Amino acid sequence: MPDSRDPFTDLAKEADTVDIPPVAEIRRKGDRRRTIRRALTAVAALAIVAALGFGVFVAAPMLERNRSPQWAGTTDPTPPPSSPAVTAPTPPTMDNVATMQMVFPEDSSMIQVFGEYEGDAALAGRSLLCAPDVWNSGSDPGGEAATTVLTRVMGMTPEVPSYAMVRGYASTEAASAAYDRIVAEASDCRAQLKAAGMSELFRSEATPFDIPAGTVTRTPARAEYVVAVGSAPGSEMGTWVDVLVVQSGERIAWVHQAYEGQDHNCSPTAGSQVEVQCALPKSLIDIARQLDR
Amino acid sequence: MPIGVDEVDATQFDALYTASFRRLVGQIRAMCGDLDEARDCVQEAFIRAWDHREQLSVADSPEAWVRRTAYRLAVSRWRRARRSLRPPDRALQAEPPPEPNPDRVAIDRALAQLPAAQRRALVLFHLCDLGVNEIAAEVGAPVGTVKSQLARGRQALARLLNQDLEVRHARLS
Repeated sequence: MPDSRDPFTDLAKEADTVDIPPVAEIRRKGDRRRTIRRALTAVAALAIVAALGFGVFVAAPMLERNRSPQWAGTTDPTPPPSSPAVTAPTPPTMDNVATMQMVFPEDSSMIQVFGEYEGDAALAGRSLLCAPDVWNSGSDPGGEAATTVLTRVMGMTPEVPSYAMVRGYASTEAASAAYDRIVAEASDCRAQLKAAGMSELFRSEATPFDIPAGTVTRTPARAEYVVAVGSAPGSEMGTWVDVLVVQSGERIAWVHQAYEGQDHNCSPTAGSQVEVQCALPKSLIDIARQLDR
Repeated sequence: MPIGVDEVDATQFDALYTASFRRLVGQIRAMCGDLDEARDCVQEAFIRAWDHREQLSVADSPEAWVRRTAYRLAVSRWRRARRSLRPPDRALQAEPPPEPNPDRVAIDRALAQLPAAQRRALVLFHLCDLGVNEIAAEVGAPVGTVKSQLARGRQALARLLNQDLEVRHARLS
């Protein structure tokens, strides 16, 4: 039999051109499972502890109402914890980033994804209108760094990209502070538009949205849709910027679109008799669920 | 790759992943016969490896831990059942893959006819360059069993490959 190493090597060479998934995504998915696994273990342990505690309490002599339950019969007098163990937030993955179907709900057939990024790499070298100044300069808003930043860049052409981003934070407090700042800077980006040559006709409209109960599992849950427009002197065209910001607990979704046009041609809310609902608010529930899953 | 006593950190994991992903896909592909399935199983094995990185840190060979996990996934009956339900165009490609050469087709067909244990032992010996003792540790079988699997596997492979070569020669003459 000829050297049997050769045919095996030949088979293995098929793998030489296999795409390697980004290692950061592998670690994120591993962390997610680890968090869920530990949370389930903690819940199961508490259920056992609670059952033991209840049985012992009933068997013990009647106690005054203001005395804590006694663990009679055990050598360890440690009382049961009064609240569930605090676990670290589950980090988001690319599965939580809005898809092109969500960003372009009317028709995504001509849309393609140009890239998926971790960190602020997606915005490197770009100055996005109505995006937080600290993002454009390479750091993070809100006073605390996001622990995870994932971005999907998409559109019909790379020259006019839309951005769908998810930012994970270490706590809901950090995420809430970041949310407030992101919304504030999107609502007042006059300076950025002016710096881009659009010193005329600045307008900004911010519409808060309630996220219906049961849509997401984390709290707080809130959203804001901001539309800003500016135009260059003498131009009949305006540069429109649509930004949707969604918070679900310790996570934030941010979707950004900028384009030229003469009018916005849509309304933030459904039910208008003269305008259709704008794309991003129309997809709000889907984007919120995607963020939260 | 050196793994310390402490839990594997991201740098160590990333280095292991980058250095061994394709190699492991090739090895699992040789064991199970499907490249896409091998890639999926290796990816899943690495996700589990990071989830259970304490186990990775005390393993003699982290790469062997990942390979064992990926192989178990590849042969899982549940996984096979799910695969049978997938639509035929699951793996969409912009261009059709190049036609495999006849020798590769022959070895593929021959390996598919071997019992799974013999196939795995042959791949671990000839492709992963493991010794008999190492193979025994990885598959959890006695050394004597591994030696028997290797011997029988080589005999069967030689018989199957020579048959295939004879058929091709007859067609050309």
